[in-house]
Amino acid sequence: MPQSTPAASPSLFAFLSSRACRPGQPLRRLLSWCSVSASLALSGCGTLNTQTLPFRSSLNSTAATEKRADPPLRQPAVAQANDQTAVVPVGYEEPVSYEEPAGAFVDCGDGALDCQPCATPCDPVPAPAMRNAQEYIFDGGDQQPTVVIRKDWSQVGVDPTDTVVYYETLGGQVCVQPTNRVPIYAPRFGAVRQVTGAFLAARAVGAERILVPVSPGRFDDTDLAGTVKQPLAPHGEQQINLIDAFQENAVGTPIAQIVPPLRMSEALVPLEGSDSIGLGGITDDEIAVLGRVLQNARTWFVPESLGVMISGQQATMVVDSKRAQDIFVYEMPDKCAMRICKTASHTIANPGDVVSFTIRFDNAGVKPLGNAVIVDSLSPRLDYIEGSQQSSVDVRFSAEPNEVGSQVLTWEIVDPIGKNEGGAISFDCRVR
Amino acid sequence: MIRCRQFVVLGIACVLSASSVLKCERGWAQTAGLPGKVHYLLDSRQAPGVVAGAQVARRAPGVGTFQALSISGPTGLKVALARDGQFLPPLEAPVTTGMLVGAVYRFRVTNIPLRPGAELYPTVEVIDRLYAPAGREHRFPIPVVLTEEDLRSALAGALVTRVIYLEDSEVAEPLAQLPGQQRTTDVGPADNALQTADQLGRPVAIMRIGSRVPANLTGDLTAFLYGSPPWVPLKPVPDQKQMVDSGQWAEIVPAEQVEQPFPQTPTQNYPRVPMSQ
Repeated sequence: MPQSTPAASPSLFAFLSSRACRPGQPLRRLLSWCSVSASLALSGCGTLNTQTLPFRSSLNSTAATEKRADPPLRQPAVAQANDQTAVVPVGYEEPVSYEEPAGAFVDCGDGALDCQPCATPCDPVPAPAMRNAQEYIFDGGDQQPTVVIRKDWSQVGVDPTDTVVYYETLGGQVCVQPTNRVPIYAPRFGAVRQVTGAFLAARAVGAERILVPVSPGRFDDTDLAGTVKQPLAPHGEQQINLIDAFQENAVGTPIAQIVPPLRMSEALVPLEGSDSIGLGGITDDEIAVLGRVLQNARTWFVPESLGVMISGQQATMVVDSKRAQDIFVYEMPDKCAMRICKTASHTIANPGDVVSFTIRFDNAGVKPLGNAVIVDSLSPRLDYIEGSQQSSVDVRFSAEPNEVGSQVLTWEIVDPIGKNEGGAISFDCRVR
Repeated sequence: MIRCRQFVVLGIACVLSASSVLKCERGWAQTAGLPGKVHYLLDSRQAPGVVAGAQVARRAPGVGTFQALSISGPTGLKVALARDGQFLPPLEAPVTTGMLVGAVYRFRVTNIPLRPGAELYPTVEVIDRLYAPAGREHRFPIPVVLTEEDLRSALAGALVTRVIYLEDSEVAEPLAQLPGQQRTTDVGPADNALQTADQLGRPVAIMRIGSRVPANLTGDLTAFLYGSPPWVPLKPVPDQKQMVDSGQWAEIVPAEQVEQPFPQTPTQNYPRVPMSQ
């Protein structure tokens, strides 16, 4: 155990005191030493003397030993920022909390050979319901960077585990639609082996180190995993859009709501003197007057009105022709309306198991969609079983290796997908 | 006096230049978003219990809960677990148990192939847990594999340390792995196997096979058994083939490639039917 810091100050004090009180020193030097000693005494070091130093030193070192034997939970950093070394604990990635009810893998204490949930309180408490994305195999969705379609109808950005469909609308719009993400719980383990000699073995299994384990100096629990993905169960309902026909058949604005032009109101000026306008009623003797002023008003004040005289007599004018009451405008928007969903036959699997995937796609729009291509880049943990793919529509299928040692499956749907039409694709994979 | 001033100025310049270099280095590290230096506090060469104690000290999630482990080895290998300071009668491997996260377990291995009468006392240090779906925890035990090579090296006097880690599925090696097998990465004696495992995935357990034997098997083995932490016996879980043979699991026959397998789009009335039937 090295000499601790508190014992160093009394030693320095004793040294200074002995030097300062030696006779024969110049007065100025004596005053300077005494001032230093006085300052040390005021700071607390002066209460000790040289005879009590060994006891105090051993006491301090004993206290330090006892304090070190108790493993502190949170202490300042080991390096105290004297360099830029960061202390990283092993397995620092925190699992993702998940809202599923807590699973119970507990010991009921009754010698039960199965790990069923306990109805009564038991020890230890049930494990918190958390998930870890590393233990899952994901397939589906579109991870960053997202898929982009080039002009030559080739795609970029199809990362492993991505599954998308891209197609073309009648208006020439290119659409990319990802599927939902399918999680399969399939943890796989590896081992790192290290073989050391007998000398190191004897030191490594020393029992005394178990009693006084080296405690960690700092563990930063706030460093949560930034890229852990929540293993959400497939929710097909969330991926389903409403039928576009209901959304797109918007009723046009009735023409009755249209504000009439200003000149129509100006034509009513000659009628203001009649009883039909002033009193709100009409009598028989005013019918002729009303007809005249109405005719005059339409002749005088409406610039588009045309007065026609044929052989000195006024021609009959039709001024009350019927018009359309409502105008319905049907717009057929050029919209991406493909609905695609992906499912897996198993939610848990072990290496060597066979899992069947099914992709369902439908045209939920009102116009046919063409040149549809479904691309599925498999996870490195999935191996496509050759010849296992099936499709309900006519497709051109291809399987190419991807960058992680698995395959990219591509289905080119030959015929356009009409309104309310769709299909299904299925294939099998073996879990690695 | 002038020379003294020159030294002072030179010293200040040196300090400023050194601080600017340090600032530049720190600025580069912050810009890159990566720590300049990474020091792994824990090491696989530390004594059993150190890593688990650190997990307990940092209150890691899962500490104090049971985690399923499966101890397997060559055919005929027998494993004897300890309880209440004594070893229990041996069981034939594989042995599946639920062990506490943050504890060290010692067990006895006998009936080693080609080494009659020899016995070893490996330790398993459970440092992390899995997050299996509720009710399926016992179906995914951490595999602790005792290979013949490891047993032979341990009997020759070496200390074999295996850090078992959980692979990250998105960056896993695209290699097929049969049930009962475990991919092993060898590191040198000067390397930190725990660090290597942490870079490959998430370490969950550390197994050490050494030549240490108890001084007296009939005496007090509390220290040798690390206090005999509790464990839970678990039923062995059959694999998929056994479940298929017993009718508990639907067999999936790989489909055959045909021109037009469906008469129409599969619906509830026309489900998908394998062509082999």
